[in-house]
This record gives sequence, structure tokens and C-alpha cells, in this order.
Amino acid sequence: MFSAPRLSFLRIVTLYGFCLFILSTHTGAQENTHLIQQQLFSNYYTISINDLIRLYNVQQDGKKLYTSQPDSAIHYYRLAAHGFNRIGAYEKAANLYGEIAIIYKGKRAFSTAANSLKQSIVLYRLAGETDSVIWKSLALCNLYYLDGAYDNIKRLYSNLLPLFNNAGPRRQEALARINNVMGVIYFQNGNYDSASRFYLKVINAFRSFDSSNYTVYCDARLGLGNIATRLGNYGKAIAYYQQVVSLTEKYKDTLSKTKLLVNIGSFYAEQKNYKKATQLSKEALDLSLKKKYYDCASISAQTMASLLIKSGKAAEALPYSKISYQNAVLNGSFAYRTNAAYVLGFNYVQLGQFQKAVRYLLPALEDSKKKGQVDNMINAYNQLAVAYQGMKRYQEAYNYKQAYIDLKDSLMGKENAERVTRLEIQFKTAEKDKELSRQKLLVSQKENKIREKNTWLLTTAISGISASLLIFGWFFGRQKLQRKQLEIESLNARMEGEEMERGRIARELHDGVSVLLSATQMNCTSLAREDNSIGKMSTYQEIVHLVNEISVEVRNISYNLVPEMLARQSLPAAIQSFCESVSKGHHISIEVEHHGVFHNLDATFCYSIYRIVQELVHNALKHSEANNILVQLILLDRNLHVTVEDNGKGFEYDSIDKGMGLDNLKKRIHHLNAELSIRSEKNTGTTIEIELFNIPGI
Amino acid sequence: MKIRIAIVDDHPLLIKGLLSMLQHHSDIEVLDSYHNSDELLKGLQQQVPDVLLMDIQMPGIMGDELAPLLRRQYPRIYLIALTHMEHEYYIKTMLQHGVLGYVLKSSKEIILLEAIRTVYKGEQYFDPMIRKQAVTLQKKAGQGPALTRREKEILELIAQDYSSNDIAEKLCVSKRTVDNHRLHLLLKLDVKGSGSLVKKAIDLGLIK
Repeated sequence: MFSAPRLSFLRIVTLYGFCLFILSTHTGAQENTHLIQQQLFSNYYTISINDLIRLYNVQQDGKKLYTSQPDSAIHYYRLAAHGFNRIGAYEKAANLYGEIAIIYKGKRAFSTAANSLKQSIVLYRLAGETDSVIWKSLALCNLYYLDGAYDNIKRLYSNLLPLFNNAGPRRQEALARINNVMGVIYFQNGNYDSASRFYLKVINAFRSFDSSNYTVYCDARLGLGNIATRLGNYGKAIAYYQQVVSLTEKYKDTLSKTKLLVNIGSFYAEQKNYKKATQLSKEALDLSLKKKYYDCASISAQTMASLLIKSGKAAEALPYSKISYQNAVLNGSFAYRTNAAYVLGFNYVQLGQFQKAVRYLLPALEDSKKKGQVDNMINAYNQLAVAYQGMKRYQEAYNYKQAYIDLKDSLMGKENAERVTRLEIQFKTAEKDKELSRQKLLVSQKENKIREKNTWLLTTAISGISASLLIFGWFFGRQKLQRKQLEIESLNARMEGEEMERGRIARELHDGVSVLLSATQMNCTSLAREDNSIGKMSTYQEIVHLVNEISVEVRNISYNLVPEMLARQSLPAAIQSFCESVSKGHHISIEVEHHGVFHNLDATFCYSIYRIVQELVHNALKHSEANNILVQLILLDRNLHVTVEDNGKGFEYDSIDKGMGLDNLKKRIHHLNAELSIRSEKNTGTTIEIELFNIPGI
Repeated sequence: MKIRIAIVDDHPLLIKGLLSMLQHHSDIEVLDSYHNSDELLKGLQQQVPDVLLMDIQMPGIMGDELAPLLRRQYPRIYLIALTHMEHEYYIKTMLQHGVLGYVLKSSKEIILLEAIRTVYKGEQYFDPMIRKQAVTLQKKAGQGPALTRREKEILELIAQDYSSNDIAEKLCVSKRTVDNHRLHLLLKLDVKGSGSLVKKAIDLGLIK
């Protein structure tokens, strides 16, 4: 039965190999790219050692252009990433998307960079690389910070938290960094008690995990110092700064030292010790300019400018204000940029150049309103009031002044200071309680050890949970906890909605837009056939090229979206909805038969099967002229039996492109520990059966 | 006698809502509610309701896994899927697994009550929103499952009393392949042995 097809299979393999041989004699980036594009985006998978080598070449091309032509590098990287993604080398693809993100970040295209990083994170998740997921998320967090997308950070944070359960020291360090960023953004939003909470978490983690990265610890201490300064609790602020001083001396770290100088500089400025403030800030500024610490430069120049303005030397301050603004722009961070814009605006106010001042102040105010930066808004209102007064526009001036007073009252009130102190007391009590319960835990562990092993495990777990619950309850209060849970619930619901939406978009792109595009492509081809001269026109060729590019992009996007859809549904559900939507477009009936429980299957495995079925159905739609397709998934024990059968015209094996498609299918399946059987009979149809053994996840 | 009901759903708020809604109806009594399938299975060892309102998407054992389990262990509980999934896949799967009612969470109180009362009589009830879909699906299911060409061939040969070995020889495939297909046929037609397989296949018009 199988002897005849087998022979022709051999022939196809040789043919295919021959083609590759000819093609591989060409070298250079252009050829590589072109070939990859043709092969990867054709209807069949083409994975061979040769292809892998070419993918690496493309990656290499990207690497070469990394510094000289970043745009081209992005192009090659993306191509290679897409290729790796298609053959299931998720980690490699993820890595490349990370590189793309870095280039975009360098170009200050923060939201595009963030998108690439998100892609990278999704792929790392698929690859099961949790550590990379965490570190890339941290990078994403920093990107969002630069962009001022604070809500995204908060969402990312709650999304990431589950990954830190029982995490080792390296992950704890990542968590500490993220906690630090959370502290900074809450500080900037004037929410000092939340900010303290996050900083205290960092310090707590540093203590219990003995992290080698003391800079995170320094940053948290500085943050707490700044909160104390802002609340007028100078003695406490000094204490915090002092600890950082000894640390920077111990490690001889210039960056931390510079940060320290910057912060103590503003601390003295706040205390009205102008001489000392100037001296420290100047030192910080020189150091940062030399070392190109744009953010430190921006802040220290800002402090210098503010000091000079306060002593009535606005003209002398202007260069510093400008330096501050320039460095903020170089750093690219949203927060620094707005801050510097404020100081520059204020400087212009002092110099009586009100028009110029308003030009910097108004957009900065809008930005801070959007991001809820109460602190900045206070400054802005005050300065705008002065500026409009100067321009003799009293109504506006009055309004801004009123807004300034209202906001300042609500923020700087006693209440706020009290809340923070209370929190710290709670923190210390909680620490003692934790020590106590830890001892209790030890005692109970010893007691339980005498009993059976099983009960020992159980009670430890339970008492561990209740001990931490106790501390947790002490720490935040019940109500706050409940509110938090509600928040998380609503956040989860929102994310779930977003994911479903992604799935829908993926389907529509894949089944709607892609189909229209292939129709366009076909029409283009027949147009050239009808009129030879049109085919030779360069505009025509350009159009064909563009349409091809578009369809490649669309496929790209939808394929990247699909895994999310699969993650939400079980495999047969995903396949069924895919079949439903393609059958609508093609007036063909596709039946899906499935038996067995699919929920526990490994996600990556499901994705491969989904793609295989998708490809087989597409093949049948394109080539078979069938009006009925049957897709069958039977999961029994640990074996999965997949059948895709059509009642079309059937085919013979010497049709090259089909042979290539099936050949690649064969390779792909072989990788999965499976057997493939193909039967095709003229005018009866084609049956493709795949049997997969010992599948993962059950 | 009151209709005794149990609820399994992972959303506490939904359960709370259902409880307060159902307590106003004198002919209905809620025995207990559970947050996941494991809790439910434990609870059923204590008391068994007449009607179970079950969610489909739950952490742990999902509804489409739970339904066949319940049908085997507690065939006398009438099941109503109470879900927001109006996807054909779930309707089909739940019907396949013996769920008698299918109600969407977005529907009104009266529909759920009607469902409970109808199902309690042992009759089917579908939410009007999906009624057409469900009926079509059922009609399709009445025609039997779609068989592959190979399955049809093998079914015909089984009906002619061929043994697995004979079939393997005749079709030039291994005995293992034939046995696999036979197993799939049993699964798809939901029967236990070759005898009932042939009978059901004839009933469904799959073989002449």
C-alpha cells in the first residue's frame, strides 16, 4: 500500500536538497534575507540545518549593523526572531526581541521598545524561562518608567508577583528593584505611605536575602531619606543618608556616591543651608557630567538653579536650568523632563520672560496631571500663578493660586506625616512578631517531627501560612487587604478581557485580512497575465512587493497573538473556533471531532499541534477543492491521534510544492515523537494522520 | 417537595447573588455551594442535590471534565451548565457529557428558574440565546459522529464479522492500527463492544 508513495517521497527529498544546494551557493545578506523571507512565509514549514544556519546568518547580519545602521539591524533581527519563533526556538526569538527593544530604547522610541520587550517576555514564558521573564519584565518596568507609563508598571507588578513565591536570591533582587521603582513612582505621585511601604520591602528583602547588590538597598534608603526630608523629618533623613554614606565608602561606587551627593544636596537646600547645598550639588554636577549620569546631572543642575534663583540670581541660574533640561532630555525619562521643564519655566518667570515660562510650564502641567504627579502639579500651579500675574492676567493667576493652595494643604498636612510614622511603627512591630512566630514555628516543627512525616509537612505549611497571615494582617489592616484583593480581582478581569480581545484580533487578522490580501495578490498575478506590459511596469512591481510585505506583516502579528488565545481555551476549542471562522470564508464545511481531556496538556505542545492542524486545513482549502474537511483529535492515555481528512481531488506525490510541505511536516512531527501517515487518492481525497506518543503535560 | 440545588462556581460574588436570588422561591432549596470541583466532589459524599448548577471555566477540574465524572458517579443529578461561554465547542461538549440544561450567566432570573424547573422534570432546557445553536448541534449529534474514511472501511468490515487480523491483512496495515481505529470508533459512538458498535452504527445510518 505504501510502497509507491514512499518512492516518490524520496524523489522529492532529493529535489528539495538540490534546490537548496543551488541556492546556498549565493552568499551575502541580501540573498539570505530574501531566501528566508520566501521560505518562512511560504505556506510550508522549511526547517533544516541549512535553514537554521541561514537564520543564524541573518542574526549575524543584524549584529554587524547593530551600531552603524540600527534600523537595518532591527530588520534582520526581526526576521531571524520570526524564523526562530516559527520553528519553536522561542528562547532565541525572545532574546532577539530583547535586542530589538534595546535598539529602540536607544532611539528613544519607548513604546515601540516596550512592545518588543512584551513580545520577548511572551516568548520567554512559552520557553519556560521564568528568570528571563522576570529580568525582561524589569527592563520593561524601566522602560515604562522612562515613558511615564506608571499605570502599566503597576499592572506589570501585580502580574509578576506570583513569580516571586519562594523565589531565590536572584529573583529577590529583581523583586527588590521593581519594588524600588514602585517606591519612586508612588513618591512622585505624592503617595508617601505607599512609597515607604515599597522601600521598606526592599530593605527587608535585602536583610533576609543578603543580596550582593547593595545599590538597590542604597536607592531604597535614599528614597526613605527623601520622604523624610519632604515631610520635614530632617533627623530621620540624615540617619538614612548616613547609612548610604558608609555603604558607598565601603564599595567605592561612584554612581551611588553621586546619587547620594545629589540627594543630600537637595536635603540641605530644603533645610535652607544654601552654602552646603551649593557645594554638594556642584560636586555632584561635575561628577555626573564627567561620568555622563544624565539623570544625576539633571537633578543636581536643577538644585543649583533653584538655589541661585532663591538667592535672587536668576540670570546666573539660567545656564544651570538649561543644563538640567538638556540632560533630562538626554536621559529621556518622563519624570526628569517634566521636572526640568518646571525649573526652566520658573527661571524664566524670575527673569520676567513670562511667555517663555508659560511655554515650558503648561505642557509640563498637563503631563503631570495625566500621570497624577501631585508633587509637580503643586509647583506648576504656583509658578503659573506668578507668571500670569506678571502678564497681568489676574483671573488665571488667581485660579492657579487657589489650586496651588488646595493641593498643598491636602498633601503636606500633618495627617500624611502621621500615616508614615505609624506605618514604620507597624513595620517594626511586625518584624518582632515575625521573629516570635519564627521561633514558634521552629518549636512546632520540632514537636511535629516526632509525629508522622506527612502530618509534619502539612502542619508546617499551615502554621507557615497562618504566621505570615498574622504579620500581613498586622501590617496593612484587614480593610486595606480586602480593598487590595478587589483591586487585583478587577485587574485580573481586565487582563482576561484584553487577552480574549487579542485572540479575536488574531483570528480576524488571520482569517479576514489575510484572505483579502491573498485575493489581492492573486488578482495582481492575473492582471500581469492579462496585460504583459503592466507586469513590466515598475509601479506594478512595487505594488506587488508592497502587498507581499503587508501579508508578511499581518501573518507576523497574528501569529504572535495566537498563543495567548490558546492559553485561554483548550486545544480542541481553539481548533474548533479556527475551523469555524475559516469555513465561513470558504463555504466549506469543516467538522471537528474530539475525544479526551485536553486541559492539562503542555501549552507549547498545544501550540505546535494547533499550528500543524492550522497548516493542514489551510493546505486542504488551497489545493484540494474539497467541500468537506474532517478534523479529529483523539486523546487516549498519553497518546494523541490527529486526523485531517478532505474529500477533494487528492494529489500525486510528485507535485513538488506539496511534497515539500509534507516533507517539512514530517520533520516537524518527527521532532515531537510522532508517526505520520499520508494517504491520497485521486478524486476521493487526502487523509493525513499523525499519532503522537507520550505527550507532555499529562 | 422542594427542588434541592447545589452550586459550583469559582466566583464568590456570583454564588452570593444566586443564593439571595433563589431564596425567594419557595419551591427551591439551595443545599450548598462550592468554589471548585474538588470541594463539590467532597460535598457530594455528604449530600446529593437534585439539580447542580455548574460553571465551566473553573480552576482545577473544569466543567467539561467534571460533567462526565458526575454522570458516572452520580447519574441521578440533573446538570445545568451556568456559564458565560456561548462557544459552540462548550455547548457541544457539555451536551455530549449529559448536561441537561445550558444557561448563560448574562440571562435573566426567570430563565434560570425555568431551566431548574424543566430540568428537574428530566427534560432538556436551553437558554433562548443559544437554543437554535444547541438544537442544530443536537440534530447533528443525532446523525452520529463524522467518521474518517478509514474508520468507515473498518466499521464495514467489523459488521461483516472480520477479525482485527483479517482487517489488517485486507487493508495492508498493522493490527495495532486496526485496534486503534476500533477503539476510536467505540469512543466516538459511545459504546462498549463490537456487538453494540455495529448495532448503533446501523441505528445511526452509518452503515447499511
